[in-house]
Amino acid sequence: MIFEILYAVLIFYVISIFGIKIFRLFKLKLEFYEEIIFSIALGLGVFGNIILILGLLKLLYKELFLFIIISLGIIFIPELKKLLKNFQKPKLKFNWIVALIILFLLFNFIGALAPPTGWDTQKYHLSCQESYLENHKITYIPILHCDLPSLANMFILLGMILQNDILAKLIFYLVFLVLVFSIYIFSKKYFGEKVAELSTLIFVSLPNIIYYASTVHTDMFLSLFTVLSIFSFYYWIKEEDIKWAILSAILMGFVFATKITGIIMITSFIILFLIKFLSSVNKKKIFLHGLIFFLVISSIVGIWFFKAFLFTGNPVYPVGYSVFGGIQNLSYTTEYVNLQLNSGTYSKSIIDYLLSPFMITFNGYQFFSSFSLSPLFLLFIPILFFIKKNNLLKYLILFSFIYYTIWFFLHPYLLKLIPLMSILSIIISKAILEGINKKNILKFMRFFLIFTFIFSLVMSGLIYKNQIKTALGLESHEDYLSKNLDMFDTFNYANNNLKYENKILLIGDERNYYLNINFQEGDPVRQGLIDYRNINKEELKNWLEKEKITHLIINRNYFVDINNSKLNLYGWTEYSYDLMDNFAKKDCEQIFENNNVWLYKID
Amino acid sequence: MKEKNKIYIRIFFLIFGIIIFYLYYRTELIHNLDHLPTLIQDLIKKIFYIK
Repeated sequence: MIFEILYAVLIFYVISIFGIKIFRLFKLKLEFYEEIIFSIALGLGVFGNIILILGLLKLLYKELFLFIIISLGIIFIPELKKLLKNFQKPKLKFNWIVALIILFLLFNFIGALAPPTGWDTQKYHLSCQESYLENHKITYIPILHCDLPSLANMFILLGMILQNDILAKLIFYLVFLVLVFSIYIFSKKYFGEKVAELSTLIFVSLPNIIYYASTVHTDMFLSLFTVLSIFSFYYWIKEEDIKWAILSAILMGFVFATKITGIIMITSFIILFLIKFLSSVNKKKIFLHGLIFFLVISSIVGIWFFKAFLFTGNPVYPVGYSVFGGIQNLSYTTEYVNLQLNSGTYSKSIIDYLLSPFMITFNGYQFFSSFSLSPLFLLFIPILFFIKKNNLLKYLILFSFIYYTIWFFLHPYLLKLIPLMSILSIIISKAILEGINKKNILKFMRFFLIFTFIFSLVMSGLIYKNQIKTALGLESHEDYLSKNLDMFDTFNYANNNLKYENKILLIGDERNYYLNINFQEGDPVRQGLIDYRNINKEELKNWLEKEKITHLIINRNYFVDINNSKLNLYGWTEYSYDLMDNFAKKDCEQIFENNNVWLYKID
Repeated sequence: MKEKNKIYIRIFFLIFGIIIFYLYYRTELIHNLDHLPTLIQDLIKKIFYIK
């Protein structure tokens, strides 16, 4: 554990100094901490792209990466000395808000030290990188989502090349800390110490942040790049200096390269550009800056689209299948995802849009999330109507409004709102403190704040209590995973008793990271090879033989009430599920079962 | 701001806050009831009228 922590600090030191060197090329004047934050973000983005290039050049070897990190670490020592000389001690007064922030961060730190158990992380974030590592190169891997832009995942790759997935989680945790610090620094600069402390506390206490901050989900990277891009864009609006526009564009390019949903941010910026263009006297200059802005974004994200095109024939695979096609047949997947998007209780009508802030708070589960949006946003946003707003606050409100609107109509998954949560935390903190302190009208509303923080803290404790033992090394990773993942024991049995050459068809489970045997995804929306709805048992057998499938793993925990009147998990229909289920029960030999996850041998 | 208006604003935010918090925590607790100790589960069921 100590070794991984020291390793993560070393990597972050190299990335930070690397970023400082890049930031200096812009010759922009900023306060000490602001400069550090921008530098780290630039360092992360550029370093992530370097890892991608090394991967494409088939150079994913531990020795090479170790050499790069250690030699850069030595080369950067004089720069570190200079940095420490200019270091300004933060003037932070210890109070109950700071204590709570530290407590939340500690819980997340415990989470970062435990083995990864998140669904999506096992589904593709980690497993794609693991496959790249096995091949010593970035290549086509038949797991959906591997070819989407994934700048942040390059740091999973880095962590796994150098040590293990815990190191990867720690790098992501450090990125989260930089994000938290950036919220504090920007709030403090424009709204004062109290707003800074409160906005930081609100942000770290949000259920989505509590859960995702200690995982290798890309959202903390995305949020960091987004926050910095928004602020550098604001500086550009104020000063109309092209250097700020380029910096903002680079960071926005990193946003898009981190996650395809960065398109929501980019569309928001197009609208902001239009507003600036229409209100500006020097329209030619603004147009030129806008052009450069979008060219920079395109060139950064272009390499990721090119990579996907190279491997799959579709630059945004598996998205846009109906337009670009792709390496697998995803007709049914596309049909299913569209049905899923349209099946949410809320349609895309104006009335639903107006009601959505309520719905997302009272029932966030309808927005494909494990948590609802914190009630603090809905409760305190109306105060904004009663307070004076400076230019930055107006700008942040405008950006949030545009982003939220595009999000609702384009891709209303609550998870995709995380980048906006950092900005909203700043906005409502300003509103809360104005409402509670200055106007002296809403003092009683402190109760709502305190209640929320206590609830979040209890929730955080409940989420991370299972991870304390394994994080401290008092429980083996295997025991921890066995207790916390329903399919782990079955996977472990397969790993220990089957040969790598065997091939398992995975049914009802997409989480393949802990399975070390050759496998084929078997759920209808993920395998892209055959449509189970149109075949009989004989044809199924022939297909399995053709694919050289020797075993089946079926996780029956999520198959509840499969019927054709609704959209079933992973696109199964009554017919196709019965076909597979009967085949497993009647034509295969059951060799292991644990937690309702079954391993069969095909006769 | 007039004293009368301040009272209206206070009443609005108090009622608004109670409704929002009631609906939010009800949904969250229903979804996560299984993770809580039995004693707390029973208490929550009583408070929120969950069957």
